[in-house]
Amino acid sequence: MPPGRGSGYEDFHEEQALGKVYDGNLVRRLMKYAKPYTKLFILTITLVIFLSALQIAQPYITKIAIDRFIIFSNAKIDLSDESLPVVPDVLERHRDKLLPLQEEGIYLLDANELDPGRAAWLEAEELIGREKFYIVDLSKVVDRPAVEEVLSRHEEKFEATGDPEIFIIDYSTLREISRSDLMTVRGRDRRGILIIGAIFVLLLVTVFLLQYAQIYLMTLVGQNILFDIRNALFRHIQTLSLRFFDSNPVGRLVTRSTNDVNVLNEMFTSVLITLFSDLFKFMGISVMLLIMNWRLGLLLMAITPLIMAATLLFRIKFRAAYRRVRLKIARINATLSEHFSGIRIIKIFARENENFRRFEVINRDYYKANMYEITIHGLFSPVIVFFRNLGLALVLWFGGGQVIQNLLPLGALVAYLQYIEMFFQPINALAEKFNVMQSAMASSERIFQIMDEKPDIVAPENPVIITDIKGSVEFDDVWFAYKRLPDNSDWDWILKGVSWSVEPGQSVAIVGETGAGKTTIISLLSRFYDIQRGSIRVDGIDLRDWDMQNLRRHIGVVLQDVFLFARDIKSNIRLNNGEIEEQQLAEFARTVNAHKFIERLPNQFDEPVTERGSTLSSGQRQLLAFARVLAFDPSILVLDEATSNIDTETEQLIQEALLKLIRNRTSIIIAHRLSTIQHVDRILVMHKGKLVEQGNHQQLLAHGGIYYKLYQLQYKGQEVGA
Amino acid sequence: MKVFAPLKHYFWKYRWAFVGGFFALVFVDAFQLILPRITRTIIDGLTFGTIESPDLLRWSAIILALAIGIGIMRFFWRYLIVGASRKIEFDLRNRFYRTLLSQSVGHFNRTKVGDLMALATNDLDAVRMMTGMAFIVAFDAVFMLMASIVMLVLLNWRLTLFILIPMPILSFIIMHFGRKLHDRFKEVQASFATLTDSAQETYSGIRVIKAYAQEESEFDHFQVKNNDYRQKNMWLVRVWGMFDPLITLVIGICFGMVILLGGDRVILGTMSMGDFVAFNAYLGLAVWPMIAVGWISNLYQRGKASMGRLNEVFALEPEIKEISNPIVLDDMRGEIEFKDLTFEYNDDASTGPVLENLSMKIDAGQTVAIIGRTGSGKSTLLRLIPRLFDVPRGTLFIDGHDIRDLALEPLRGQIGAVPQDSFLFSESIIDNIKFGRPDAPDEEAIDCAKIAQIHDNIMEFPEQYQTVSGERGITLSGGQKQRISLARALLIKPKILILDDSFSAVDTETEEKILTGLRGFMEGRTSILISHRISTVKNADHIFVLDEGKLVEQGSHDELLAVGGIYADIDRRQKLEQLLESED
Repeated sequence: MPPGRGSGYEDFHEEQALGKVYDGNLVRRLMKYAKPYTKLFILTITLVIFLSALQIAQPYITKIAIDRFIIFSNAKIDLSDESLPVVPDVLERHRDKLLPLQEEGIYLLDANELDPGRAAWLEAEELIGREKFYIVDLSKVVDRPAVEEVLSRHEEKFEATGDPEIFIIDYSTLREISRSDLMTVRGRDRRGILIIGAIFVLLLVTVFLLQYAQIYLMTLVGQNILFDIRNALFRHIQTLSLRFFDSNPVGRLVTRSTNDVNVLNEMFTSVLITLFSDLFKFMGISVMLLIMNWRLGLLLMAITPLIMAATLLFRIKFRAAYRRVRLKIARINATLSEHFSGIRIIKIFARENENFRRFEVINRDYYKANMYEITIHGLFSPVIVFFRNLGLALVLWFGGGQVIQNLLPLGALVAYLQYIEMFFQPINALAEKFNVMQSAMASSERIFQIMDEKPDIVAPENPVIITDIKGSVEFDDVWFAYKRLPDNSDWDWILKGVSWSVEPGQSVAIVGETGAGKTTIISLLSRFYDIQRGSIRVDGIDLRDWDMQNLRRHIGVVLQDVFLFARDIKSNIRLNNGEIEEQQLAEFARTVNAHKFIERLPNQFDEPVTERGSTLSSGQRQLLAFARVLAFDPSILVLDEATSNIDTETEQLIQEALLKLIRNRTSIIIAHRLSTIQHVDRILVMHKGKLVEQGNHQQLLAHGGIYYKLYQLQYKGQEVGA
Repeated sequence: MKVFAPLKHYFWKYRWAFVGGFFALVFVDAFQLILPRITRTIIDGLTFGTIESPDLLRWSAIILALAIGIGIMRFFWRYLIVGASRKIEFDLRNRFYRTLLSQSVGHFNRTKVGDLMALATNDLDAVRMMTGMAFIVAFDAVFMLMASIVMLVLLNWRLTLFILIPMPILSFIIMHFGRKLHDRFKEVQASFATLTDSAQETYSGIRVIKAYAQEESEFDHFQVKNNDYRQKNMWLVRVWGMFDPLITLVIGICFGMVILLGGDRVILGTMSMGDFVAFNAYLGLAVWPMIAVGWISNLYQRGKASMGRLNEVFALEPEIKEISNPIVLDDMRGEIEFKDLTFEYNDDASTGPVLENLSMKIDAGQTVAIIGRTGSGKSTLLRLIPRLFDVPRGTLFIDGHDIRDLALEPLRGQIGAVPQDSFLFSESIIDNIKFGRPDAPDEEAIDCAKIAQIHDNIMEFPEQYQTVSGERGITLSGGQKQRISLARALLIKPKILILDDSFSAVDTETEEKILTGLRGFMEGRTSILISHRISTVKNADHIFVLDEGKLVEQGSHDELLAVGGIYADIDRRQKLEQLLESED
């Protein structure tokens, strides 16, 4: 029941309330379905982690390319004055890396090797040069003679060192050398770049393959789990009793079995699997940021809580705004649909203008909700953009400073620029998981609600299974109600102490007004519902003791509105019982006079039945159902005759077929036809839930009771036609 | 482009929003293009050792300032352009609703509500996406692509040529795979539909399945469909799973080429380290427009198709129209005359005339009844008098005027009709009663509810007259609905009141009460009671008996009984039914 008008009105159109993001109980139950695929899960997650590692490696490869082969940071250091405090220490510590120059006490060293304290001190004492030098080591060059030739030509530009094999050249002088000479001198670096390029491409291809494999496996796991859940749900729903189907519209059950299950897909794939990927990426990038330069790393890490907070806040706000939009559009659609359905009333009352005015109001509400969403989005996205660029600015400012102080190689700075771009991705992805989880929780809650539903028809512990059923049926003081009275004082009785029986092979017709309880008898005999009092027995055994699957196979039911499946004629007769041969089918069809219209169909027995058999007349459908009965050859036939317009020709076919059907079979027929009544052994007259008269046609007519009146009302006119 | 002709008007209407939005967009793009140049300056400064810490701080401050500028401008373009597309959507939806509401009932008999809803949701959405996002993205993509390529060329045109080689491959992949994906996706959807149908069928046919103990084989049946859906999904992922990684691969190769060829150039001194970094950044900016191209063409295709469908609706003309100078019948007397009327519904299911050569005259203020079996055409009369369907000229007269000469609103405003299905809207009961006269005082509405014998029921509801009916509120019984729709008709104080089988779900005792209460109300009004129940019609001044579209008998109750025809037969059967009902 809706709450007060003011607040509650809009909520009617609400699709679903915002639920929990995590419910341990539901997740545990869901995980049971994931369990059979544990190995695949582990494989996929391993793949994901490996993949993330490779992705994180990419900027680092750029760094290596720059710092190893493109840029160099060797600077001259003056260590001649060993009396200075730091000098001996540097000499000792960097003994292997120091390249002695020709001048005594002057060395060349990769400036990035120095730790910040010493670098700062050397800088302050002006003992370290700002000029960067390139080293040519003749023992390591690719084409020694060519390099020697270039060196000899540019003798004045290159500086000899303490090592006769090694020459150095400062950066600005290096740029004066011609391009072709550079090719020779830096041949080693160029080869290095080529190798790096090759590694990079190899990495890309590996990433491609792994990504593909990961997506494939992830889908495989997800689809398999969904397949299992759908099967389980379908199987479970089928076991539920009719009472459940009475209170749950088919559409809802279908949505649970299909759409709701699909919602879970994202939880199994995007949450369970990519969660690892996002976490690993986040941690991996953090580690890289800290490793390359822990000061810059820490500085960048310091702004992550801000970004996370902003992202999360944005998600929450945005979700609320989005929900408002969904609510409004749902309301528009509900209104449109209702107004189109009720167009006749709108026209009759000439309400077009008033309705339009009102529609415009809700349409405008929707527009406003959208603008609100745009505003929220528009306000938060600059914040995220700002943080991104704050990261960039920090890298350039602080990182740049570190580069100047020789505390960070330039290549690492470039890598930082790339990492900072990558850094935001997992944060955003992690925030998005909340939405996925929320809808997954809502859907799984609805699914498990049905899974928890218990069939109220309980099978006995030791069910009776008899294949050779004789077919006696007995109703012994049966009281039955579908529901209680509205005031809950008593049951709303449909059958009030009905007792009758029929011997094997005999036939009875049940007659009575609409609502007398005739159709209910059919449902009770198949034990679709349990009775409140009394007993229904087949072959002297109470229904509640039978194995119903077994018993139902021996009861052939033909309902008034014959349900046909949208399959071909063939499978509508034999249902899914493949054992019945096609030849037999034709035989059955001929016996019940169904072959005539079937043979007129373009594909005969293979003709597809469309939309619940709408192309077939109700008489033809009944004949098909008769053939179905023959195919299953039950000991007991229960038939609710069709009432609606059946042409005389089909009517005759039905009557002929019926005679064959009831022969040697216990038959219980809800009769609407005079001819049927006259064929049966006995007539039961139902009135207001009670069995009031029984006997044969003549006896009952002579009695002049209810049957007589019913006959006057319902059957009398038929004499002319039949 | 003719398809988009109706949109021109709206683009013009919101031209300033579009212009402003594009202006802001250009700003955002320009700012974004500046950022890599700053990075370049800094990196070069660091490489050559020509930059000092204060410079770094200044540049970083500029970056932050640009970021704020981008943020603000981004807000504006989104707000302006997406906002304008929402406004267009608002206008289109209003127009859609207005056009459909002006159609006659016949149009709705021929069109499924589901189809109309698809238009209102999917198609309107597609058009909105096209007017908003597709526009922006197209503009942004083209502008950004051009600008970043210019920037790349300025940095190093040779290298630009090299890295542009994989770009067309990218567009090709997106187009080719896009098409393939689309096909496979459709198959997945089709498989899903089959799966849904399969579940739907089993659940609908559960009685048969249980009766024949077919649960196991039904499960097998379902499992086949379920498996097919799983297989189709796996089949889709074989292509879909390749899509993103492949794009990443191609883009990665572009960046790899920058490392390889750009790195070599830096080594050889033809490019600076700053150029190298900026080159990477501009490449990053150029990549997404390439991806966007495929997306836009998709949006455009969808939008075009949807616009075409919407145009069909906008082009609809109402079938029932007033003549140019209609007679405004402000104070109707309520005299109705059918003259030799033959009427046929013009829909697909039409099976010949519903009414044939019907002539009857109902005087103003008279209470007449029309009785007949199902399919006799009696309900059609209810639809013809308020002119929900058109009859040929010269066959139906109200107060002596041909109905086709009358102004529609005053005509319908003075006719109160209670159709069989008693459709109520999902609004409060009071709003439902006041449907025809929203400004009527509550007291009057309550008076009408009292006449309709529904007041006491309503007072028992949790929120009385504010109780909402329908799916989202209380479920009303058939009889309650019928009485509410009667009250709704009474409230407009109609000159002609038509009740079509309006008491079928009301017990005879209550019906008796309603009819007695109505008697006073009907004073001076013409009332037509359409029914198949003798109890409803017997007290009418005059009774018409229809059978298969023809007027077969007429007269008072007693006269008709004396004739001993159809009317007498119906009477006899209903008496028997009553007799049976009273039996215990």
